Amino acid sequence: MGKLLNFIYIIFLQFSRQPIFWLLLVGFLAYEYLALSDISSPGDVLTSTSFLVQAGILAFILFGIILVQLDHRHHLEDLYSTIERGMLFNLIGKLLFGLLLSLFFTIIFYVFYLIYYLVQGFAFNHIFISAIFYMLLYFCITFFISYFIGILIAIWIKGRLAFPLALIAWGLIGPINTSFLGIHLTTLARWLNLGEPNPSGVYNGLYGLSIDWFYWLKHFVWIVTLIVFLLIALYKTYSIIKRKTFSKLIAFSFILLLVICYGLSLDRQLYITAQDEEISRELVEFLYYQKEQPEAKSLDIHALSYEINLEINRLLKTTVNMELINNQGELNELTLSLYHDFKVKELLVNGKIVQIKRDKDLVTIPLTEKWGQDESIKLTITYEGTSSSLFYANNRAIYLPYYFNWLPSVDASPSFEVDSYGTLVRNNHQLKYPTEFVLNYEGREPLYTNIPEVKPGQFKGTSSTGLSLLSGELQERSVEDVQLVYPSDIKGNHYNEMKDSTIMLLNYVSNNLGIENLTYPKQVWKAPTLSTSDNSMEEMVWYTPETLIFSYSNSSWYIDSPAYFTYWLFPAISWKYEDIEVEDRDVFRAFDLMYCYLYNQIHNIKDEGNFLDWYKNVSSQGQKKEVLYALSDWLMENDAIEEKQLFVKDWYNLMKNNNSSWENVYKLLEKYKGV
Amino acid sequence: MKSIIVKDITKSFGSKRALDHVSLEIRGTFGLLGPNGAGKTTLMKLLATLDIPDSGIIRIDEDDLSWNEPSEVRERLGYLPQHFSIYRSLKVEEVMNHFAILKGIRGKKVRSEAINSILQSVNLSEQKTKKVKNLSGGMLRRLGIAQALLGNPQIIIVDEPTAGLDIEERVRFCRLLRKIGENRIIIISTHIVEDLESTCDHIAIMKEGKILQTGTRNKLAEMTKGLVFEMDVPFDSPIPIKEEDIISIKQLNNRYLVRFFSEASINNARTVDTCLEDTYLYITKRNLTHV
Ligand SMILES: Nc1ncnc2c1ncn2[C@@H]1O[C@H](COP(=O)(O)OP(=O)(O)OP(=O)(O)O)[C@@H](O)[C@H]1O
Ligand SMILES: [Mg+2]
Repeated sequence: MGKLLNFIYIIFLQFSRQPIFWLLLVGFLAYEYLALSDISSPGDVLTSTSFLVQAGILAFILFGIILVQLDHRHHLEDLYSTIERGMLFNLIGKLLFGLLLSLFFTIIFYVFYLIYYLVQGFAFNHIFISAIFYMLLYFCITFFISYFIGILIAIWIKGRLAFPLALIAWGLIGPINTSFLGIHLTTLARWLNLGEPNPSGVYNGLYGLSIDWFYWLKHFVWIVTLIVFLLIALYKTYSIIKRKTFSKLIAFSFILLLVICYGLSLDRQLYITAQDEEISRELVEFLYYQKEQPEAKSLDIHALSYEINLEINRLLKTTVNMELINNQGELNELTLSLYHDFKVKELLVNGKIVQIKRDKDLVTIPLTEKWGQDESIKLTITYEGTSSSLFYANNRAIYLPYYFNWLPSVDASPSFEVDSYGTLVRNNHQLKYPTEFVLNYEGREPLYTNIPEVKPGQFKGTSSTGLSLLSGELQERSVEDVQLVYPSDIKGNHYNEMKDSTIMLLNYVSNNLGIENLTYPKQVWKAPTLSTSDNSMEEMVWYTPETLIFSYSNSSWYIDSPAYFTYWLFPAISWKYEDIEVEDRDVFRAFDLMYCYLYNQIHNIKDEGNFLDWYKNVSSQGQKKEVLYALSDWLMENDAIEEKQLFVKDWYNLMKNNNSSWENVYKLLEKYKGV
Repeated sequence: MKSIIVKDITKSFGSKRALDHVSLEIRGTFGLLGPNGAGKTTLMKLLATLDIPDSGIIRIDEDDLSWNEPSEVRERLGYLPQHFSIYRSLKVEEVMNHFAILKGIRGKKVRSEAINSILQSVNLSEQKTKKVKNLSGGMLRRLGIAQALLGNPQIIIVDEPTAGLDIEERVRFCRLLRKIGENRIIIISTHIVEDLESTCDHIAIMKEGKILQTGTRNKLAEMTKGLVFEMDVPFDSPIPIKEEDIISIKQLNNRYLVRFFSEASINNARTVDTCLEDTYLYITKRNLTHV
């Protein structure tokens, strides 16, 4: 040990006496400071440090090469070899020095990072823990691997040729390797990349940093591979180890590699942002749901209770006991919906195994005994799989809201659909009746749900809309009995403004449209999923009397433009909450725009009417076109507010009663405006 | 007195045979003399356990020590490579401390005493806190021998220690080697005969991988007794000696003084006392194993 430390110390002395080394360190920190002062979120800043990592990789490869070449130049390898184990200590000492040096850079970087954001007023929360792991992975280990590569290059390639090789290695393993490899080799580039996996992507406030096991394993593959090369050098080049030891170590390394590769090959969900040619998470679902989806008769049955044993780790694994009641005539078959990647392993009806029919998101269950009206049956369903990339479920992040059919749902519609202009929208699978839930949970802690925890890992309660689960890189705060959950990389300011605006709109809509139970919930969650459908205003917010969920990503609770907030919140508390369905989703849009514009006008909320262009821009024909143009013109005239208010109110009732064809809207418009 | 027995060593690099059935008995301060490419470094590397011979054995019978067990040999070994240099930004004492730890000298105090006394003996005490890059060539070489002396090794191997040193440094260095050589085996390789004249008791002369002659300094010097002559040749007359027999030509006031080999006596020539250099030249020129 003393001999190793001695080598480390000797190398340290040499480094510390090189002014260029200190210059590099200062440059590194200056660059970090630039990044920090440019980016206000401690999450974003890390995913944007790829250039720093890229530079670090080059520096460390060179460090490795230079240290070995120094020994060559002084012919020290012979001298060390005449001392018992001298060369072995030399090489291992060099490696350890590289590890310590990478660690040193990492710690300096981290401390600088931490202090900077704490001074900026961020609370010390979980992201700063995750940041340690992130920096260990993408700074420390990556730098160490680079250094290791440098050492091996110099051992085998004597002389100057080592330097062009270093440049090639640098181009291949850095996070911006696509710029060297070209976009056609994206997959290769991904595998070689030792830095941030989404260098051109954005930080996801829910998912957090890319520190999944997968990425650690990928780095371990590198380390073990390099160790294999080192062993070859020890055996062949330096004759330090005996043949027997060598064979044993090599065999062990290969077994280790196999195990790691097996781990890498397992199914898992990873946060990947669309990059270059790769398809986005959104597009995966889009391509799936763009194809024809099976249809099922909607049945008048509903769930009385769910008892769920849930384990969320690499995969979601669960056994759900549910009790259903039949509110209609006799049935000999029943169809539930369940997101297609959740594979049903076993299904029991009243304790007896049955063979189900699976068609995409639908599960059709044959009933051996007739199921009469008002009778209940018990289903036990065991399933597992990876969730939709737009609804995370792994050991890093969970977002399984009530409206997603992650639980078998009596609403036999697919999880998503592609609407008339090709936008992917999430279908609402919310419940319609009070339902009892028991949840036994194992997975990332803490778990946020809309039912109370009765003992560690067990949650119990009733909900009329469904069960929502949330976990991830989040923080929690209580304000006046309201549980606020939001990403740990933001400060979460302007809560009160958001709350006041929300309550005002809730009250207004409740009175105006006669929607019941529109109260301000006890849970307000901000869970950015960063999907492009979040750009559509109907997808921004989801509301139940228990939970208000914001899925857009910005750093505060409220948004800069209060007018927009109306447009985002209103769909959530009106037709989405009431689970109203229409044939053409443009009806919703036309209605929302008018309702919100009026609301803003009445409440003196500054609204430039930017959204109103939509009426004339959206492709439409016939009566639809007439309605949309008429609405647009009408809204431009800033009078007759009362008529307009009465009109939208009646329109809502049409939608609620399933009468909102464009023809009916046209008639209604005629009545109020006179087209 | 202990001796290293080298028995029938052969070592080839590809088709190049660097050592060809070399047998030696190495004792005391031992000089290995030979022209460039003779195989001195190759032999030194084998002795220093840096390489293994294709065939043959090396051992010390008294200690029951065999070179097949390199780790035991290394414990008793100090080595100064042919081209010794070391990290330039380190100080002399740091270098010494580094090697002292590496050679397993435990205890801070023990180490610093050992280092001080060695530096004293190689006359580097004053340079203790100097950085390597500020040392002269001679000082660097003395640091090299100081490093080899750490751990008080029984065997010291010094490869071409005087190459590149000026005369004054060379003389000083040879004196140092002589001093060190008391009570241990020290092997010095060189192609400069003078280096050995004042240091070595036993000398082997090698060429092209073979040992041509071994013996004490005096014995070797006397080998050519009666074979070396000197004669005066005026400037304007030709030198009546074959080119390959000439040892040296000195220019005096009005004539040349020519030193040369000859098997028979020659007119106008007088026999002179022979030295090691004569023997070295005589046998390396003729590849002689007997005189
Ligand atoms: N590693 C090697 N690979 C190939 N040939 C080698 C190697 N080492 C030595 N040789 C050859 O073996 C012969 C002996 O070389 P060696 O270095 O032992 O000579 P030397 O007596 O030390 O010469 P010098 O006085 O120049 O140092 C030379 O012809 C050399 O070219
Ligand atoms: Mg040599």
